Amino acid sequence: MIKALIVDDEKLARDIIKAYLKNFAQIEVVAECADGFEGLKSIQEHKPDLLFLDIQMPKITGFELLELIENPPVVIFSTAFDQYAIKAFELNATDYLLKPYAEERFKGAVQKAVNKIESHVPAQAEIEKLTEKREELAEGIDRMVVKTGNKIHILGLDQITHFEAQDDYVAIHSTQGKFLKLLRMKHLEDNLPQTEFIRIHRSHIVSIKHIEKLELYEKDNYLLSLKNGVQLPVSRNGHAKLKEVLKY
Amino acid sequence: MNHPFLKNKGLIFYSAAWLFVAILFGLGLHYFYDAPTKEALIDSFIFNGIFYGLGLAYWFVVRYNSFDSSQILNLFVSHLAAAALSVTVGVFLTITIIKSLLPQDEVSLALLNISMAWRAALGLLYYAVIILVYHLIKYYDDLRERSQQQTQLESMLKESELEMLKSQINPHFIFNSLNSIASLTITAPSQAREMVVKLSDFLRYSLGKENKQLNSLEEELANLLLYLEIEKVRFGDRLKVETEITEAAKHLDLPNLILQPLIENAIKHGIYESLGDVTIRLKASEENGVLRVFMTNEFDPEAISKKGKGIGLKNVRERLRVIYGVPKLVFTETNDNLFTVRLDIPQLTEK
Repeated sequence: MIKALIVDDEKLARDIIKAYLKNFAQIEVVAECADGFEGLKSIQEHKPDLLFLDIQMPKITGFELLELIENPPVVIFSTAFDQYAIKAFELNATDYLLKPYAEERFKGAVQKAVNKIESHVPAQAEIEKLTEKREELAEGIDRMVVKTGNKIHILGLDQITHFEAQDDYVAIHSTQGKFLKLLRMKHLEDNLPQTEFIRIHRSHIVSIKHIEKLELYEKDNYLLSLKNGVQLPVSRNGHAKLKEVLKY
Repeated sequence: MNHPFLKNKGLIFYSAAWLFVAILFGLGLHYFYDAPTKEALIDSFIFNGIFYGLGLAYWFVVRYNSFDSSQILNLFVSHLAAAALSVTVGVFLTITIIKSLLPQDEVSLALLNISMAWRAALGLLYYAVIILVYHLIKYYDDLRERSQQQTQLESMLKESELEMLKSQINPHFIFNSLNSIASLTITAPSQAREMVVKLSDFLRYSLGKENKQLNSLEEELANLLLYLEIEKVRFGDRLKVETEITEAAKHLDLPNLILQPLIENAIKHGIYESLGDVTIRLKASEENGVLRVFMTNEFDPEAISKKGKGIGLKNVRERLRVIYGVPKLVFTETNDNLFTVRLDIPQLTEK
């Protein structure tokens, strides 16, 4: 039996998925949720194989929800109209439904998902690809959604003081505390607004707003102090960028 | 451009001016040369009559020579030639006609021959004055034409700007509604039919209004409530709407669909971004001849919403500015978890 979970903020949108799924005897809908918070809880509880996910929802988007799940199930997105999503999924169009969709289209998507589940291909890699594509095509990052235990935090960019690379993870230092997220520094550097963040070192990206001062402490070696007292090393490359942005 | 004196009442003015000149000329002959009244008048009418005709022709010198600095020499030469030719012809014709028309003795013949010099000078003066008048007329006409073009261009621009600002019904809304209908056809077909009708009515109103800019609040409100009913089908009991509209306000005018982006904002920040119930309050009343509309929605002040907000509000501001020519008609206020936007819609007297 394949366990399916539906996350969509509109009841009628969930209803039609359930109705269409009745044709698939091997699929059982274990839960349906009206928002991303509830969805995350439910996913952790039920560990579904298949996830039907709306993109625009209250609080956190479907994409952001996906980023918070450690071992994401096979996902079929369904959304009314999202040009970024359309572009992202055109390249990988198997599991994307544009509302309203035909039943045939739905069946095709579910069939592909079922094949994927039965062949036991880990979905993680694909989802990483999808979410990253979204952010390259979209208007960059404008907030970060992170999770500690069962609590979800939404960080505004102005709350973030700096990012620090830690192996496969990035530590996000913010006024709400420090959070780890599976991310690459390059991805952050490319998608954060360049007027607000600057990569000063291989392992550090800082918020320009939170910079206190820049000091020379050795020949050619600079140290950057943030307003909260944290001190970070600056690479030569980073120093050149700082010079350009801060215009000194 | 047509001849200014050959259209409308131009010829009357032109003739009247010449009549005046001819009488002056005749009086001059009578008093300074002691010419008998009859001869003076005949002489005057022949001379001025010929220049009356030439004067009409001078238009073409102005008409077909552009006043362009690169062709100043050209212009000078053509005016010189026109002046010399016309004055010579005019004076020669005058003398010839007078000679053949009036009996001449030696004294008057000598006087006539002497008069050729001052007649030529006077002819040149006529030429200069007439050319000047033509230039002034042409200049004035060009100016008027240009300002007409300008206003035409401006109104076209305004219209296209309005079209652009108006046609901003959220496509998300339409597609999501269609998806809801698809869902209802399975679970509740009669409700689906109802919603199809509502959506059609809403679209007909929203897309069908073309250039009629103003509508009564009553009409606009009906459409707005239709929109909210559709949204209620989608979001169920989570959406609550309270209205408080005075009877007087219902008959006042406002630009069509001006409230649509505001209600969409209210829904977006209310329903789309929150998990609980949301109430939208709509209030309208008349204050000193101005239609004052308040729209209030609850929102989550802690929500860090995605970008893209503010476009609807900006469009409303821009549209009102273009229509009424007054910069500040939109006011917003944030109070705890309530966001209020107020519109002051002036009432145009003509309708």
